[in-house]
Amino acid sequence: MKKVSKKVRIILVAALVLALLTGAAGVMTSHATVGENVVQTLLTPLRGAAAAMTRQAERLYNYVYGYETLEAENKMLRQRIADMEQEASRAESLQRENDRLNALLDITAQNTDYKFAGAYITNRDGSSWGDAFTVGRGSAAGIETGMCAVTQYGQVVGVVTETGLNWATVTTILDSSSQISAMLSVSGYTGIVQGSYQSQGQGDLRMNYLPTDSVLKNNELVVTTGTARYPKGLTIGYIAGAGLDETGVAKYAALTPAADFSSLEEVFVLTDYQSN
Amino acid sequence: MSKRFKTVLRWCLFAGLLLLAMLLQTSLFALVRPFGLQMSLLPVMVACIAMRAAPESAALSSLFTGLVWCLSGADCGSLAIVTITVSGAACSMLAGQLLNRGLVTALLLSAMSLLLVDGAAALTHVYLGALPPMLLATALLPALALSLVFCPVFYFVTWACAKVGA
Repeated sequence: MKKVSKKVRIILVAALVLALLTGAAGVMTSHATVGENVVQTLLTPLRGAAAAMTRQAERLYNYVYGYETLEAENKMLRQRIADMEQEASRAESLQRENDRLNALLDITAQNTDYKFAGAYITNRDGSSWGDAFTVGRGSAAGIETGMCAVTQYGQVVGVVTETGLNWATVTTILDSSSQISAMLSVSGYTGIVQGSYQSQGQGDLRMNYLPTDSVLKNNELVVTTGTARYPKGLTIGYIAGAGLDETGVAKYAALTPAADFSSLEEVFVLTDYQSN
Repeated sequence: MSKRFKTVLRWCLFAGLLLLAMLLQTSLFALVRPFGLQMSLLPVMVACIAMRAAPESAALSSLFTGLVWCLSGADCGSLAIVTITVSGAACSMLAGQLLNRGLVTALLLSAMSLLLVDGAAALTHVYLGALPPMLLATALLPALALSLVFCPVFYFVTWACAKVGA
């Protein structure tokens, strides 16, 4: 074997000297040397790029090998979200029902003779000119034709016009065929409240046959006069305007319905009360 | 292309390979540890490059590699300047004078280089009491053996780079 050449020996000695110098520099100072600064500064962007590529490679690895695991996990999480959404929806529904029953409790506390049958709206009238809906309880729950359906606050929604064993149709007061005997709560004028349906979920009420000399005030409460089927004093709406009718011999009052028909979910049919 | 240009190109490629090995060792394989072992790529790359160069060139390139490795904040960096330089020079001389430049030689020289560079660093730690001697057998040797997996890849890459400057 050839001897180690002079150049190689010089390089080895240089390596030894550099090792001693860097070692000594490391011992003597706690700061980075100029050489370290230069090398680290130059290497930093390269290291950054390498680290970024490493992360990408790791992501790719996880994507390829972890795909099935992720898919299963994703499926499980979706199922869990669906369950939770269903649970949350049920909780919200129960909360709303609780609120309604609480409100109803106030009415029954004031009118102990009132008997209500709560019923959820199961179907709404799809026709253009009518305004009625079907509820999920019928004659089996004591509901009969002519009974009055109200909200949890005692606001009149409509009258039961058809019943089956486990269903009933409620024609709302907004329907143009609807006619309810009513009176102004303060002045005591009586008349007939009729619906003037305009479009789905929106409508006005009109109280007809008021005396021409009647004095009508805006926002005056209009309530039922009562029939054999439902009591007097149930809230129908508020006066929003007045005028002479087409014949010119009677006045009418435009009413704003008290019940919010757009958010109706459940109604309470007044199945029994003690008429005096 | 002039011979000088080819030589410069070849050494630029070798420098790039050394830098790549350094970056891979400190980024990818610092994160991904097969069997919990830290891979050591730089000594393998130094050995593979030294096999393709004259002893003087191999020693000088190894010296620069060791210096950069030391200044980049490597563990036992000062010692690495000497061990990497010695490793480069020895690999070149052994490959050129006693052995051929085949894959088996590359594996042997890489193992020697790994033992020299990483073994010296590990022994220093053992000497300083920072490492139990048992770990030399249970952690160092398996890590060095695993690092040799890269030798065939580096061997063919350096062979291709050497062909560029041939």
